[in-house]
Amino acid sequence: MRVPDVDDRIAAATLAGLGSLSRARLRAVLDHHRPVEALERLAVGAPLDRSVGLSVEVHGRLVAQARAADPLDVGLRLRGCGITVLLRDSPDYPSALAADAEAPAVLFARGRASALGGRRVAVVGTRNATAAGRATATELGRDLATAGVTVVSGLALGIDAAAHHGAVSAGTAAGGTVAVVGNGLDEPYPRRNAALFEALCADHLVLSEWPPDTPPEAFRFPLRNRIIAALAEVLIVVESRERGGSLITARAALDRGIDVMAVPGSPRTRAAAGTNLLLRDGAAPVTCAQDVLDVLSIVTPPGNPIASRPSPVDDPVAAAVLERCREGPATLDALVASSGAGITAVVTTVAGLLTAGHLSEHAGWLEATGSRLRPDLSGSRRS
Amino acid sequence: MIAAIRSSTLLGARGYPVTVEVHVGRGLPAFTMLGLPDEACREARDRVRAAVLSSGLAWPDAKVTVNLAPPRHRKTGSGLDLAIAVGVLVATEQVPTESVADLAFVGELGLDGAVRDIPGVAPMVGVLPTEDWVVPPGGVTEATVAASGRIRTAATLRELVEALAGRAGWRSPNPLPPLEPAAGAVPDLADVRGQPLARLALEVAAAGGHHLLLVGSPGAGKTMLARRLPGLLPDLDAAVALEATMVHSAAGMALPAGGLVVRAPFRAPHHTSSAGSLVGGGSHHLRPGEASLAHGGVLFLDEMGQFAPAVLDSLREALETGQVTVGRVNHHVTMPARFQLVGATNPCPCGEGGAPGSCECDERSRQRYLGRLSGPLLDRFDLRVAVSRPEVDDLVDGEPGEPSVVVAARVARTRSRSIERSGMLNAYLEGADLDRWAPLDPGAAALLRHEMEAGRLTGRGYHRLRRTARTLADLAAHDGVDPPATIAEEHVAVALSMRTVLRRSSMVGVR
Repeated sequence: MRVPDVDDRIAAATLAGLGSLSRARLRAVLDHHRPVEALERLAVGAPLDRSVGLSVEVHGRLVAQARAADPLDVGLRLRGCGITVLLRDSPDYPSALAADAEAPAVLFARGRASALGGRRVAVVGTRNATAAGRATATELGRDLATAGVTVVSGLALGIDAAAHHGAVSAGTAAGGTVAVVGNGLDEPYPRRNAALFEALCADHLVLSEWPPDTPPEAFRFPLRNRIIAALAEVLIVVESRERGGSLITARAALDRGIDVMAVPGSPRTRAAAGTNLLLRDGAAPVTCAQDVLDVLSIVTPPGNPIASRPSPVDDPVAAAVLERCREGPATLDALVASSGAGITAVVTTVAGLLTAGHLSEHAGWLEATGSRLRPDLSGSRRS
Repeated sequence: MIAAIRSSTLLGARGYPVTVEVHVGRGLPAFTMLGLPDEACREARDRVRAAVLSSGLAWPDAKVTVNLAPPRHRKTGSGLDLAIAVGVLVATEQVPTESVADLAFVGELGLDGAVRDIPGVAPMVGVLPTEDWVVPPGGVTEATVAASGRIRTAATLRELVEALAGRAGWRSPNPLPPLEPAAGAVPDLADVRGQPLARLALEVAAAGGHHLLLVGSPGAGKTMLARRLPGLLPDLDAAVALEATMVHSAAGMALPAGGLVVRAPFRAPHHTSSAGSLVGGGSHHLRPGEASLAHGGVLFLDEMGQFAPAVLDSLREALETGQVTVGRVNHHVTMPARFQLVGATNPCPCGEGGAPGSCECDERSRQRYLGRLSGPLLDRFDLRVAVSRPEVDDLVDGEPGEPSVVVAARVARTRSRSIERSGMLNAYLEGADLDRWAPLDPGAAALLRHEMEAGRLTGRGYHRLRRTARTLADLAAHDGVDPPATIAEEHVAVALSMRTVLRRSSMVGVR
C-alpha cells in the first residue's frame, strides 16, 4: 500500500501512536529508516532493517497496528490541536536534546519552538509542596526568567506550576518557560493547571514525546523527567521528600553530568528531606536566583527587581510565631508552646499575620508564605 | 366469662395503652389471640399457659380468646404476658375481678411462672402515669420515675395471685438489686496534657452547645477529648432527663441507680453502623437509635469520613429538629434526639497528619477523603478544630490541665447566662437574634470583613463564627461581671482559629 500525501513528520507521529512501538523501539526504527519509509514498509508487511532488532511477533503486531492507523487522520488531529512534530534530525529539534543518548525520536510541541534557544534551568519539586516551597519556586522562576533564562519544568501541581507561574509573570520579553508533560498535548493535565497550560501554549512552549490522545499514565512521568533533565543546563530541586519524582529527575541530571542544585530547608520538615539529602551529597545550595546565575556565568545588570516583603518583627510574639513557621508547618498548639505566650495572644497574632499574608493556613497547619530565598542577596553579592 | 385488663405496648420510645380482653367460653379447647400481635407477642400463648400450669393454677378446659385492643396497632414484645395471664385467671374466677379493677400490668412470664424483666418499662408505664402498676421486679425504679401511681411488683405469678386474692401482702420493692453497677465515671479533663486549643474548643462546645469537629492524625487524642465533653455539661433538666430515661428504657439500656438518666449520655457508634442503628428502626418495635440514646448528651462519630454517606445524612433531621421520625408502612414513630454532635476525622488517608509537604497524600486524595463529609453536614459544625499530637514534653512532664469540675463551673455559669439573656444557648442563635445578642465591635467586624474578602470565610461561616465568638466572650467574663454586649476582635480571632480551613480553593498558593 502507498501512503499518499504524507510527509515524514506526519508519518513519524503515526508511528509514535502505534501501541507496540515503545520509545526505544521507535528510536531504533527511525535510526534506520525515514519515517515515511518505515510506515510504508509496516503497512505492506515488509520487514524492517535487521539491526532494528524487532522480533517476528512484535513486527506482526506493528503491521496490524500500522494498517489500522490512518496517517491523514493523524495529520488532521495534529493540525486541529496546533501541535508541531519535531524530528531528531530536523533543525527545529531542541539542540540540547538532540545529542542525548535517550533523546526522544519524535517530539510534539505546542507554542513557540524558539523558546529553547537561550540558557535553560530546570526548576522541579514535589506536587505536595509547602506554601514556602511554592513561593520559593515562583520567585526563582520569575527571577531566572527576568535574567533571560528559560525555565524548564513539568507542569505538575505544586513546585512545577509555581515555577511556571513565576516565569510567566516575568513577561513574554523575558526568558520564558518550557513545560514537558507526560500525556498528549490535546488535553491539559492536571486539569487544575488548564489555565497555565493554555498560557504556555500561547506564549511559551509545551513539549511531549507522546502523540495527542495519550492518557497521563503513571509510567510516563518518570520518562518525562529525563527530558526535563536533558533540556537543562542546571537542575534546581526546590522541595522534595526523601523519595519522589524530583529525585528521579536529579538522578537523570547527574547521569548526564548536569549540575544539580537544591534549595535548603529546615531539617525538621519532611518537605525538605530530599533536597537536604542532595545538599549532603554535594549538590550546590540555592539561596537566591543569583546563585544559579553564577553557575551559568550570567552577569545581570545591577538593580534588585525583588521587592522584599517588610517583616513584622516589632512584635515579639509575631516574631516568635514567624520564626517557628519558617522552620516548617506548625500547629497552633506548637506555636503556643514555642512562643511561651497565652493562647489568646498567639491566636490574635496569627489572625493578624494571616490577614497580612505572612502566614497561610490549611487543615490546622500554619505555614510561612514568604519564599526561602534571601531577598537582599542578589544586590549585595554583585558589588 | 370475660375479663378486661389494662396494659401497654412499646413502639419506639413511647408506650401505647392496650386493653387485654379475655373471653373463656364453650367450644373446643383452644387459645386464640387477636389484635395484631407480633411474633414475640403471639408466643405469649404458650408461655402464659405453661406459667399458669406450673404455678399450680388451673388452665380452663375451654375455648380461650384474647383480644388486644385497639386492634389496629401492632403489639410487640413479651410485655403483655402478665396481663394475659391475669386476664385468663380473672375470667376463670381464680382471681377476683375487683382486685384488678385499679391495676395495670406489664411483664414477661417464664414457663416456671417467674415474672421477668422487659425493656421499656418506663415508657410503657408512663403512658398511663396515674394508674397503679404491677411491673417486674427489675422495672420498679424506672416505673417509679415514669409514673405517679403506686408501683407493685411480684417475682412470680403465684405470688401475684396470692397478693391479688388478699391472701398475702405485696412484696416490698426494697431488697431489689441496684439496676446497674455505677456507670464508669466520666474521665477528667485534667488527664489531657498540652493541647490548649483543643481544650478551649471543648469548653466552648460545652458552654455554647456548639457541634464540634476534631481534625487530627491518629494518636492526636480526638477520642480522648470527646469522651471528656459529657463531664463538662451540666445535669439534664427534668423534662429532658425523663425523655432520655424513656429512650434508654425502651432500648433496654441499663439505667443509673436512681432510675433517671440525669448525666449527659455519651454515645459513640462505630463507623460501620447502619442508618437504622443511628436513627432507630428495626422491624419489630422500632428500637431507638444512637441519636436518641444521645438525647441530652453527646453523639460522637469517630472516623466520620468512614461512615456511609447515607448514614450520615440520616442524622440531618435530628440535627435540624431535635427529633427523629421513623416511618413504616402503617405507622411512624417520633423519638427525641437533641444531641451535641462531636465528629472526628483524619485530615488525610495516610494519617501522617496532613502537614503540608510531609505526607504522601496528594491534594486530590486529601480532598476526596474530606469530601466524604457532605457540605451540609460539615456546615453544622460551629467548631472545626485541628488537633495535633501533643508535644513529648507535655506528655512526659507536663502539668495536669485544669480539672473538669473547674471548667464545668465556668460552663454552667456561661450556659445559664446565655439562656437568661436570649432564652437559648448561643449555638441556636439565628438571624435577628444573632444581630441583637452578638453585635461586633469595629475591630472584630473589620477582621471578619477581611477574611470574607480574602475568600477564607463564607457567608454561613460568618454566622457560625459569630456564635462561637459570643460564647468565647461569655466565657471570658469573670464571675459576677456581665459579659460585654459587643464582641471584641480577640474573641473573633480565637473563633477563627477554631474554624479550620479544610478545603484549599486553589493549589497554587501564590499570593
